[in-house]
Amino acid sequence: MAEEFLNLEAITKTFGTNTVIKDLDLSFNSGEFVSLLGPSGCGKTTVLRMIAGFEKPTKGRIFADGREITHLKPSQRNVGMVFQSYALFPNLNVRDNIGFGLKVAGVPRAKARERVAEMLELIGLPDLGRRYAFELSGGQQQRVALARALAPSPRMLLLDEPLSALDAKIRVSLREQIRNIQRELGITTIFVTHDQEEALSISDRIVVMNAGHIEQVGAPFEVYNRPATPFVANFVGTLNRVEARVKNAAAQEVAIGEQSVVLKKLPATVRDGEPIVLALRPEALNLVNGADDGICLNARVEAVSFLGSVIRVGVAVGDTRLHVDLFNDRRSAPPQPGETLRVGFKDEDVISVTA
Amino acid sequence: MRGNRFWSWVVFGLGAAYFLLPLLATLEFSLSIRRDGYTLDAYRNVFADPGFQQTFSYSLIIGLCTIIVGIVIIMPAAYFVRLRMPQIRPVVEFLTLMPLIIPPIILVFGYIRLYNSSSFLPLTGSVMGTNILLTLGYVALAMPYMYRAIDTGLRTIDVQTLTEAATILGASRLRILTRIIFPNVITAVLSGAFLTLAIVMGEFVLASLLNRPGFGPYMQNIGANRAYEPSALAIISFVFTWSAMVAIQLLARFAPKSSARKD
Ligand SMILES: Nc1ncnc2c1ncn2[C@@H]1O[C@H](COP(=O)(O)OP(=O)(O)OP(=O)(O)O)[C@@H](O)[C@H]1O
Ligand SMILES: [Mg+2]
Repeated sequence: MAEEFLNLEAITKTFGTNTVIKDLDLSFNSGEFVSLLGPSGCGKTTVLRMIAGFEKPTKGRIFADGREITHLKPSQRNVGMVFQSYALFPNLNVRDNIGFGLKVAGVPRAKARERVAEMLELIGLPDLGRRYAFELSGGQQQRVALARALAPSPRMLLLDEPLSALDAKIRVSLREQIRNIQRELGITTIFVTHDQEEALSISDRIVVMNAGHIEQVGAPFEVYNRPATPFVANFVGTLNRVEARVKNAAAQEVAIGEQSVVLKKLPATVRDGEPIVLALRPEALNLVNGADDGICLNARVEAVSFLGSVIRVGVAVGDTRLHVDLFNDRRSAPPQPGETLRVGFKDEDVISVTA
Repeated sequence: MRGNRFWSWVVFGLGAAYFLLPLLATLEFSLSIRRDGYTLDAYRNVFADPGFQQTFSYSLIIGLCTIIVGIVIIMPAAYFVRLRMPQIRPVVEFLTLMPLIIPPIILVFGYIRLYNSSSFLPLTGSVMGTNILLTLGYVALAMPYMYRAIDTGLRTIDVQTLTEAATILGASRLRILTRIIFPNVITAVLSGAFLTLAIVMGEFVLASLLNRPGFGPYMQNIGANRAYEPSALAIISFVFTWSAMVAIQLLARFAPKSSARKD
């Protein structure tokens, strides 16, 4: 079903002597919601601004709908953009802000008014048309900014950390609202964020970026559960790194601190005595009562944080500190710091074994 | 604490006296044209003098032209410096200070040399040309105030992002400047405009050396030939200037809040 709509081909961007984006290839399907995720300074905004036309690639080409747009001006690209700082025009009221693009495009007044009303309805603020930006909350301002971007019916929507300036609760409800509107309109959307939870929760696909290149592109489920690189494993979600040593490669025996376990997933290339690191998600670890056929380690509880539906238990296995995520169960009390218990995991839940 | 308060009042009183006493003396003198008590005759004479009316309106018109030309030149300049070359802002700021450093007399002799009737652009050859030259000279004199006022206004808005937001919606540079940027800095622009007007109304050197009937030369001329009227004139121009200042304050207070909330 998905046809490619936007293509970045071998894009390089250099500021002075600083190469910010290196030879990046990326394509977006029509109607898709894609997040660009990565740490601060990795070049997410730069990629978005090149798609918008505010920056020109030093090398490489950009295609939209089969036509090259590399050298088009921002105003010729027919894209909508939402900024982190909302950037509503302070001298115009909500209606005139939303209608600005229509007015510039010369849409007849009656038609523009109709479209503005439609947009106000879409963002759920039908009665605030006469307000000015300073009379709106941050969340309302950002919704108006979204309506302003969408009013001229752009062929794609670019959002640069639109939720970063908002507080946690509004951030969650607004991201769902953005996603719903996007689904309703079926508009190709690129969403920049450095918040992995945000990216995981609303995207069709996630592009994980690091230092100007792409680490992995994939659906949230895939990126989280099958990270392609150690960077992705670390950046997306919480990761436990269990330091271990190969005890007997032939018998697949591994020493973790003083304890030894059998690890079927052990690569054939390791040799006896070699140090290795096992990567595990906190939810892959569980507390073991009695017998278990998986791998078990003795551990001491160091900290317990109650996060609501999840209880995150910090434990120490020898010198290694691990996070264990448990579902909250109102019938049994969480472990207490100082307690000793057994932590288990399954072979197939080990994300990676690295030397 | 009490002592402190006392001494601050003393200092304030001395300062006020320093500024107000000459003013009061001038006011008193301007009212004493007759032996038998205070009268407004000096003011009546001034207002009745066709020279006053002509020069006052001449300077007022030149002042308004100066403001318009100043805004048209300085507004886009300040905007583009903020948008494209923020790193050269200190240099531009220094350049706009030049008219304060270079005396107007040098400026006007430069103009006369450059634009005299045998030059490539003989502006001083005609009355209209000289008016234009005078206006441009005033634009230069007002530049330090105008630039600063506009730049301060631009600082209160996010020029870069607002410009980008409007650009991607298809707006041209001219439209962004006139519909988005200018309305948001209008209060600041007006305060620059009133300062400009105050400067132009009292300016003597340029008007006199270019031989235009400005209000400044008129005041000077009256001052040299009359006794009481100059004081009345001084009070009138003082009131005019202060009204301009009060207007700035009022505009600043009643202007709609223009900066967006950031929460
Ligand atoms: N106009 C510019 N001139 C010079 N360097 C720039 C410019 N814009 C961005 N950079 C550099 O490019 C790199 C990537 O910047 P970019 O803004 O794309 O990062 P980002 O991933 O969006 O980060 P953040 O999450 O902090 O917004 C940074 O090192 C930045 O300093
Ligand atoms: Mg960014």
